[in-house]
Amino acid sequence: MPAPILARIGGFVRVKCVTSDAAQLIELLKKQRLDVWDVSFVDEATILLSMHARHFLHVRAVVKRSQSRLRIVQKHGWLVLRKQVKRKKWWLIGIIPAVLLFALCMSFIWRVEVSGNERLSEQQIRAVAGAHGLERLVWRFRLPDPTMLGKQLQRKLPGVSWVGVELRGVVVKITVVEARLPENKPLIQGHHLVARTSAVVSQLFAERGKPLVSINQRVRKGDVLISGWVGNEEHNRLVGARGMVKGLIWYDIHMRMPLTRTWKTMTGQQSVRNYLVIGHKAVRISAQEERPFQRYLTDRQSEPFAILGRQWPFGTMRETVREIAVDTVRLHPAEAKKIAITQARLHFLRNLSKLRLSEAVIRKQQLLVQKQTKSHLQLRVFFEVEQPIAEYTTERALEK
Amino acid sequence: MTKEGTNIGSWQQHMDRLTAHTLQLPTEQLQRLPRLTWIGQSQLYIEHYEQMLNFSEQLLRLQTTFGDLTISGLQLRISGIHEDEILVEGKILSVSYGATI
Repeated sequence: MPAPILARIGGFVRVKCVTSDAAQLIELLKKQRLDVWDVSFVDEATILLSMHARHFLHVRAVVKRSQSRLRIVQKHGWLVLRKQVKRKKWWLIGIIPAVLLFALCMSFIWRVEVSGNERLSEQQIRAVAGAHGLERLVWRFRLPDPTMLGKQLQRKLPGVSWVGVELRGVVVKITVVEARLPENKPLIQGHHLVARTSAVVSQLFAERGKPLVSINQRVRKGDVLISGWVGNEEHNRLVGARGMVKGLIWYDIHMRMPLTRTWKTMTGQQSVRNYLVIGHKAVRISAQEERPFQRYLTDRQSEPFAILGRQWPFGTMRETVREIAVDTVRLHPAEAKKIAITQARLHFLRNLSKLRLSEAVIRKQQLLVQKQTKSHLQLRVFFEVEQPIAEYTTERALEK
Repeated sequence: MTKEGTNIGSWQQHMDRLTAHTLQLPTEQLQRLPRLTWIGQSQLYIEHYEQMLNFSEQLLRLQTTFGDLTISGLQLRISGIHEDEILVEGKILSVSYGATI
């Protein structure tokens, strides 16, 4: 049995006692209200027992009366602790300045970390932080509130959207989020609008600047359409041209159209094979004759084995082989012509839209030549296209 | 005198028994009969004993109102003693009333 709590605080002793009658001794002590516990035998005439340290002298008196002898074997509790403390006095005294020194060290900022900066240099950020009292070996308790400090740094640093200051023990972390600045585009002011290609002007609208051409006028590539200068020879000012100019451009297109067309059709005949897939290998399960069709399309659908949302490297695969028939149709020349022109228009407009000329419109179309050979139809078609033709001069050409 | 005392004692015992029965109280509390709690073979807790008569490593004899209680075992030791309670530990072999085995 462990010693009672009171005994642990007040101290207790373990005592060896030589006695002829253990029962009588225990009874005697019980009558005197002297508590004992953990009574065990060493040999027939010797017992070990525990008692309160303050009871020891009383117990000795009782024991003497019963003609027994006592000897302390062990001491426990506060009594012993006090002795130990006395012995380790200097060691304990040494601990106090050590703890104080540690606490002192912990009250300084030992490191300032800067992260998140790309444009700004670390030195620049450190300098600004230092000016606000945030640097190495600063007393931690004199540091201003981190949130406030972050806001102050944000105000002082150029091109920064947010600054976070975080105090983690003896380390201060400064996190900088730099503002996303717009791309620095060169100015286009002061430019003229010139013709990109030779054309006949069909629409003209000068939002700013002075138009130098008129509608139905033929212009060559590089001609100034809208000038960036306004005013007369004496009083003028550069405003930068802006506006919209559309022109008519002719395109001469040659085409060669085969008079036969081939079609692929599915006959509806199909054969299905099942495979067992393990890793990258597939093993056929169902037996069927070898490829029964001359021309075919294969369609594979694999179903990997999945359990609890996880795919396993095995499963099944279904392969469908479908028969294809190729039909050849001979076209009537008129039909061939229609198809050729439609496709040409589509192809042509698609190409223009690739050049960012989606506003382009085919205004007129003229069949110039139609020749028919045995297998082909040859065409030469003329397209009149209305499309934007103005572009800015690439350099700042400031001529009037 | 003895006869009278016995009479009084038996009358009191009778009353105790009656009270215990009517109030449904545990009899050992009223009559101070010994109560033993034997846990496994290693621990024995005895309540309401009167006096320790004998104690050695193999034997413990206690006087109770019911008669002498003899506990025999091996390496017996007394872990705790209170007013009328005692906790015995060791390898307990037998508990019996009456004379020593």
